[in-house]
Amino acid sequence: MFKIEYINELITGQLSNDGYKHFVSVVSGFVRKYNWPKSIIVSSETSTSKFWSVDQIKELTHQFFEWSLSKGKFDNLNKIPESYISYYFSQILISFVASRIKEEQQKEGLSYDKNRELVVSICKEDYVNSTIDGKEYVFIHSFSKDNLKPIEDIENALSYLSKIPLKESTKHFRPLVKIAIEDVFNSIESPISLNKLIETVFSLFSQKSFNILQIDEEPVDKEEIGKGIIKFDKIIQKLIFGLTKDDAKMIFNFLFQNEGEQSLAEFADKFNIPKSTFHHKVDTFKKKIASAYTPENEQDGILFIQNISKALDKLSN
Amino acid sequence: MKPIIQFLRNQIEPFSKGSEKVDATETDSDNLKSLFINRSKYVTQARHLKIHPRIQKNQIWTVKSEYDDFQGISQKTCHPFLVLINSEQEAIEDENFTRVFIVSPFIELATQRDEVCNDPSIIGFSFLIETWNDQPILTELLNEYVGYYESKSNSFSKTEVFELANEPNSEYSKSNIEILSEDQKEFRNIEISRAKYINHSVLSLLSFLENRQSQDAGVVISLFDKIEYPKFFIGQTQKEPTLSLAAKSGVESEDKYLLYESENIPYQMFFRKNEDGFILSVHTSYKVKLLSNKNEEINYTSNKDKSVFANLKAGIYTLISEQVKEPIKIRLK
Repeated sequence: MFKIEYINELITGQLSNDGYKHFVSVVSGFVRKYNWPKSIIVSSETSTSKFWSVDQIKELTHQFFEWSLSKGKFDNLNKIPESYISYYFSQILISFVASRIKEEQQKEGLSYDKNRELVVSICKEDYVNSTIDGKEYVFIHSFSKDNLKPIEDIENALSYLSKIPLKESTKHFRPLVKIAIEDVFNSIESPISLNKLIETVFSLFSQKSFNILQIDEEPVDKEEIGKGIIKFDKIIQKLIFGLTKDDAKMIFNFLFQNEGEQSLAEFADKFNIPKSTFHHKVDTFKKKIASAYTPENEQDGILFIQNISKALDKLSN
Repeated sequence: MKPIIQFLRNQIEPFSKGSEKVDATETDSDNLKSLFINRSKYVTQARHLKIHPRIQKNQIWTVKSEYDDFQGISQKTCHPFLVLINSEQEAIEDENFTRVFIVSPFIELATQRDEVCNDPSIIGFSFLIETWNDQPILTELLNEYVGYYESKSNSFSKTEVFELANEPNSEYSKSNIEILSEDQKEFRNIEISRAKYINHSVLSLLSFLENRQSQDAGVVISLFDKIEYPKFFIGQTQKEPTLSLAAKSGVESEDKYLLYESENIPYQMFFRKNEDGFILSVHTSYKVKLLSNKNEEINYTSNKDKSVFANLKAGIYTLISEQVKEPIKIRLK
């Protein structure tokens, strides 16, 4: 548990070195006890070891307090009885970790098991299931072996299906899985094996394509960018709203001018701010993009990214 | 939401050791400190006022994280409770109790129908009122008053939903009962299970009243986490609890007493009652002392055979003697 004397030091801006060590030690205790994954820290490190280093625990501790401050968790500390404050700090830490794990899960998309459970249940309720040659098939109405299409045709039709984005606010996956199944049948217009359907629906919820901000090296027509400015104007204005000149410069440099592939830590040093603060700013901006905009297609996405880049550059000068 | 479930399911450890092993530089602590500098509002705000108003409906209180139940067994919780008073005070044989909803800071596990207060100015943070976790509590367990909040919900057991769902052959449960996620179900199970700490205060009282030795008095001894009720005698004959223990001056000549003897302690204890309260006689030549629940030593008289503590009021006492390692808890009522 967090000691009240160090909590008092922290909130009065007088944290001692012993106090700092105490917070890191308590967080470390929680990490070990509950075996939290390292993915809960926003970090540029690429270490594949599952063991936490002291620096990573410090990073987590720092990010925990940044998150708490950004959520206003300490704004009404005076209302909380002293006998409850230590527990309150533990509770915020747990809520912070739960929220980080949830965010990571959203990035990964829907779990395979959950997806399977939902697809099987929806197919039983809304579709016709039939066994052909010992294999279970599903379709929108009754069917026979003659209605089956060659697997190549099905694969080809499925390749045009677009991925389904998951927002952080998504709590119930069932309606989205229903839509995904409808998309599959609209696309292939034939029965499909249940296993193939489960696999296909699962792939539609992969969020990787939404999380990686990539800029294609190919030059894009300037006229297209011009059109984009008008089209994306409102979204971009919303995205950059509240950013300072320095914030814009940092994010622009990190996301769009990182030719030397400098690490986040190096960028933080360059701008003379704590590494975790830098992480937080970049991560928040990325999340804002992911929740504000879903590309219509690849070209549309590239155009959007180029417009953001331009807007950030303009703001930072 | 697994971290929350894990956290609630487990004991919280002190974690206070080991910080000296953390390798930290001044820059590390300065970085963290810098986040809180210039946030003087945390410092200048007046601290929580420790007022102790009369217990009333809609008040939020903290609950003591440790108490001796009515039979003297120590109860502890490492997850402190906040509760919202949900009824007026009532009494069972002069022991005040009330009904409360458990209040949880884990609003992440609220369902759409749950009542969540998002105003952090009431108790310092947003909270969930567990209207499905309505519990009785002895008011002596309430510790600190925290704030006032008028809940929009009734106890689940008093709602129309409950009545409809519990009607024989009701279709209501099939159509209208809220569907909970696995985490939400588990959260509710853990919270209801944890709340045994709270309702146990009343259950222990009821158990005491059921087992007390006479109509007008009861004594229970707790030693090594086991409870025993001294036997009721009139003269040399053991009696049933239908009679009263108190001796009325000038009316009765028979000696009425409760006797406690056990293989765990090398002496006998006699409990008598008169108009001034209980009288405890500890039959030992060794020195003994009796402490009140406020840890105050009770005066006594003694000779070479026994020590006598008189005028004892109802309450919980601790007997300490050189002959028994553990303190003996005694509840008188």
